[in-house]
Amino acid sequence: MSDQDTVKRHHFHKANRSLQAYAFFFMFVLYAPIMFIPLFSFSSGLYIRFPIDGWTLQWYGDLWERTAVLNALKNSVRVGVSVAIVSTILGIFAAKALVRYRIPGKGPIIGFILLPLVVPPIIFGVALLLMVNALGIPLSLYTIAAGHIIICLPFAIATLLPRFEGYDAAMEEAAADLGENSWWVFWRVTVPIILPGIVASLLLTFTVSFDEFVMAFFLGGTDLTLPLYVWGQLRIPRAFPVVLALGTLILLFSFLLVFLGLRIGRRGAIKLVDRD
Amino acid sequence: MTQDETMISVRNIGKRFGSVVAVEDACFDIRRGEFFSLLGASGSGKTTVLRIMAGFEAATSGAIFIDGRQMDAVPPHQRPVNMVFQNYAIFPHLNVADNIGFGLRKLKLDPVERRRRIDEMLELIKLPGFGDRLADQLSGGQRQRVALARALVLQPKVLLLDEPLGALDKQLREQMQVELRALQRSIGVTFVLVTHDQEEALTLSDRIAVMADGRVLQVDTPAGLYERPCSRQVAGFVGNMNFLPARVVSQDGGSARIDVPGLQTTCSISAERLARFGSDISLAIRPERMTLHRERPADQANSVSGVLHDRMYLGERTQFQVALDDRGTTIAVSSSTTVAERLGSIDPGAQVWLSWSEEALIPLGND
Repeated sequence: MSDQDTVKRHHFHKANRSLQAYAFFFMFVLYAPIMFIPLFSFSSGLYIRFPIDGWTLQWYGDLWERTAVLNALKNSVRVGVSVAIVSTILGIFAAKALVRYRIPGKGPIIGFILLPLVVPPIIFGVALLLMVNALGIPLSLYTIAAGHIIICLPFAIATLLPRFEGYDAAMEEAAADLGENSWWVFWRVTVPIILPGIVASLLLTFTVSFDEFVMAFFLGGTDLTLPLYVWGQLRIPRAFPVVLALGTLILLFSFLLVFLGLRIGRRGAIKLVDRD
Repeated sequence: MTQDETMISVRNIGKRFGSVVAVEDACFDIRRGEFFSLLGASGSGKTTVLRIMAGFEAATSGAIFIDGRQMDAVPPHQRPVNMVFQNYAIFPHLNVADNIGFGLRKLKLDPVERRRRIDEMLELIKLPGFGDRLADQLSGGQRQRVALARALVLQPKVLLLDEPLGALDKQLREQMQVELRALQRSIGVTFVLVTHDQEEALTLSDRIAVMADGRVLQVDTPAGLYERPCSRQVAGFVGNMNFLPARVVSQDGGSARIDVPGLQTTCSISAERLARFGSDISLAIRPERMTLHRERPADQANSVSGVLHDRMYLGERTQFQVALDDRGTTIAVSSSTTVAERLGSIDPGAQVWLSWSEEALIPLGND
């Protein structure tokens, strides 16, 4: 057997070197710029330049002394947690209705619900600002949260839909048959089975709200969320390294949440597939 | 039948989904302690009738009574019936013990009593010690048993079973049939089984309702359905059947005689049955109700000659295809392989004789 035959035979199993190189290059271009943030957050100089002046943890220390930062963080967490809870609850209702009931025009309805994923937030931001002004509602963290719920709802529904599709409606019928009314069926069967989806939805929607800038910019009052605070600090050169330190922490936190959310969502999905 | 003997009374039940008629005017009674089957092909409406009994569907017309009580306004969770679902619907987030104990929450039992009842059920389904297993650690047959235990632990008046053996392979299915029958006998609960498998229905049931196109065609014992089908549709659905053209030749008083040209014979039919069928009738005869001979049999009235077409070895039984002398009608004859072997080898194309007893001839309407 010639060498060429051997190469042909193993063609599909062999690692493709050029494809590997492309994949590494792709990841580098995607993530290298982001890596500048943690890198320069440890630099002792005020300006972003090479070579790096020296290493320090000073900016991380400074971070905790600024009450404005801590306030903004607290605001973001408050908005994020309420948005996550509200949009996940609404998402559960919507996903269950979409999967369980015969609804005329289901396809267009799902498309309409997922619309905020593709409509630029600036459009929603302007539209909501106009409406809120017209109704005379003062801008506050509440208006920010309302805007965030619109953005987060598609994420919640998209995360929960597969969970509802993944299990047999006969489970709920079986529970009813065994003597439980619909309230207890929901708590004893529906919620435990879709729980991984609920957790994933809470984590994802929190992250989306926590990082969101445009809606918060239009709908925010005097209370700032973290992204708004960061944007404000960018105009002050002396504040910049502290912003980098803050950005590093947010980056780390967001990454952890999304990673956790996807992992929980996927583990649930695999378990359902295995069972069949 | 007195009220006390009736467990379920189905009174003129009809069900429409939009313009589709799923069930039309179903009307029958199920006796206390009976193993009753709803037999039909898919789309015959049998599952819809079962789901109406369980309360998952509301009938469009008619009424249903369980143990003398009208059920129409009673939601599923308040009906004295429990169900074994087609895919068992074992709760994936609970272990076997908690699946079985699911319905016990409302009884507010103390933990010891709850545990005792669950263990009793595990014993009954021959899975002692399986309480801690999760649903995905069970085989198909074990899930089926857990689904049974989960329904029976509540001591329902009626157990509804929706194709419970459909997902199992043939050997396991036959084993579970035996167990299911024995279980029903020992606990005496009324069982209502939905199945498309006529053999399963015949093996398990005390009585069977045959359904097609949303209608109940006949309600009878397995032997009654098999030996005295009331229509050509039922006869064709339950077991194998030969159908031969026939016509009425004479009629006097209580009975009439019909001529079966294919078999060169005549047989009698009561005027009452004839009135129900109309004059368009045919004659049915089971393949195993005929005997194959190499020589002309003595009883010439109930025999006919033909040419052997084909011989099929089916293991336990052997089936012959015989072309009758009359107009080339082909008829199936089945005999046990032991008997067939005694005939020796007969080449296709050879002349053979068929004989039968007159009771085996079943005149039926052509629907």
